[in-house]
Amino acid sequence: MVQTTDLSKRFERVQALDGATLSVPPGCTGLLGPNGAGKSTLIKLLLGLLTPDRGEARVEGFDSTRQALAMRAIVGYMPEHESLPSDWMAQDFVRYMAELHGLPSRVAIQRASDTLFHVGLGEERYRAIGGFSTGMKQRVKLAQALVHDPRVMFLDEPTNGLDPAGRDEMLVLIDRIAHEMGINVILSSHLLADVERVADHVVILSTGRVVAQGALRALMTATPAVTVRTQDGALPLAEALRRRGYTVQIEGQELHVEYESDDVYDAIRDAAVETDAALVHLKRRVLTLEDIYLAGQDDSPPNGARDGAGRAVAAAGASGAGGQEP
Amino acid sequence: MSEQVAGARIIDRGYQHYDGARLGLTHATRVMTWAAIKRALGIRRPFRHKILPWLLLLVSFGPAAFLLAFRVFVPAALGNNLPSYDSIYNRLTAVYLLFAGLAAPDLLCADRRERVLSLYFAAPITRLRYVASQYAGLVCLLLLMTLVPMLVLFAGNALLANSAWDYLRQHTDDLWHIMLSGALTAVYFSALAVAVASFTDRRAYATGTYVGLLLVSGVVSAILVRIVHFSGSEWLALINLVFLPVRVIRGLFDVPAEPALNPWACAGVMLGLIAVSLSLLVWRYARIRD
Repeated sequence: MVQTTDLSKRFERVQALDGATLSVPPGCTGLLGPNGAGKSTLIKLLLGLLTPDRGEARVEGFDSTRQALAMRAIVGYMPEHESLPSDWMAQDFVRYMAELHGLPSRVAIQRASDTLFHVGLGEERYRAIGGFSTGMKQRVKLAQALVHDPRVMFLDEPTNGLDPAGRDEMLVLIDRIAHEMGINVILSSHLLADVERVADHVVILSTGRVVAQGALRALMTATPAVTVRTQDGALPLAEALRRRGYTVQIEGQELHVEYESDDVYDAIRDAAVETDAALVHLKRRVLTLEDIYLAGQDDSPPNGARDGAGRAVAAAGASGAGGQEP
Repeated sequence: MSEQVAGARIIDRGYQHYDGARLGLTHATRVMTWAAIKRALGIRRPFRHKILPWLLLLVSFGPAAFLLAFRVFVPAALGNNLPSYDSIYNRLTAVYLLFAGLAAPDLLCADRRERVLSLYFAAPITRLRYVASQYAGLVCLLLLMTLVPMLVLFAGNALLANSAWDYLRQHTDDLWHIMLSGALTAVYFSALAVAVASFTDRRAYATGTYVGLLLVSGVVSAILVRIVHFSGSEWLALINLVFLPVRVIRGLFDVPAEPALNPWACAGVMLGLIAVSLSLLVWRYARIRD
């Protein structure tokens, strides 16, 4: 659906995006990263609103730079900031955006009404946008991105400024768009919970670089570590495992043992017998999105759980969609 | 009836995909131009946005309507002293420039201040098409003010003459002079207004700067013409941005004006100013990063 190769963009002194190589499959993809990670720049490059310094981007097979107009006809964009004309009626504005995307007037009128109903603004569609609450404005932004039936929607921080109930409703809408309406969604956010809830895939950016990408479930389960908890001191068990050639991280009473094959379970059993350790817990380590995200943001030397997560991301990313950025 | 009600059911159509035609850039440009016209006239906007544009529009039709009404109902009141087309243009210049000064910021400033451009430019349109359609919308409205009343007056004069055919034969030149005068006035004031409006996000500042620029140019020109005397000093009148279209229109209708400048030179300066203004407009929008 979306491919980029060595995509780079610099703004004066800031390298906003640095050699991003991506392959985003159909479905809902979360674009994660802290403020300034390059998420909005990536979306603008994909939309052809910015020209890359290096590399290329393709959306649904269209070159984002050379075929920008054809590509924009089949994508929808919901920007981060408010960007709505306050003295337009919601119906008029959504209809106008449909017409700008090439829909004939009669179709645009009908679809504007339908879309505003879909986002929950059916009864409010003849009110001026300026009088809307933040949540309603977000819905208008979503409606204008959806009205022309795009193949891909770029949603930039769609839950910004929403209260918990509004955020929940927005995520329900996004989930419907991606999984019921069959429209591919790229959801940019710095909120892990939002992405974890609706996305099938994730791309994690940090300071302009892609630090992880792949199927969300694969990233969270394919962990090259086994967690062992002992009743008493974990240190002797750790030493015994290290003597057997395993890398072990200690975190309180827990050990995170490097996983290469199922042989590690035999090694743990033998080491436990050797050190007379009482095992109370033995499990393949399950990462949360937060682990993956923090590992991606952290370029510091290995340190406890964060390091374990970092190595897990590298492995999962390699097994996921397109591998990890160097 | 009861059978129909019994058989009725609510159907949730769900989300419908669209697989019809997607029209191109020309359609989008036409849509944007029409939207600009409606916006400038305050259509589908609160009442306060309608007052000034419609008032100025009515005023621009006033002279032609009154003249024709007088000629029909009280012909003796006017006798043979019919105001000429150029004098009507001269008197309505303030209306034209004020309309452009109010409408151009309405078309351009709000979209930038409210950051709507990021949505428009993510649609399959170009920046050039966007500014061209806003400018075209303004020019269309000014053409409505500068051309239509005069053409109505011309047609009325022809119909009220002893012989409409003779009137048309004798005044054919007036027809194309009206067309040229109306078109030049509309294009000129619109170009200046959109160029000024592209430099600020505030409507009031844009209108104030535009009207101020025209007034100051008139005052400075008048002072210079009076106090500076050298061979060719009358050309300082070209600084007067309001005087330029007046001089060209008088030249077209072969009416003398003070100072006596070549109307074609004035037309050349106007065309140069239009080119510079539109270039500034395009340059400004090419630099916007939203």
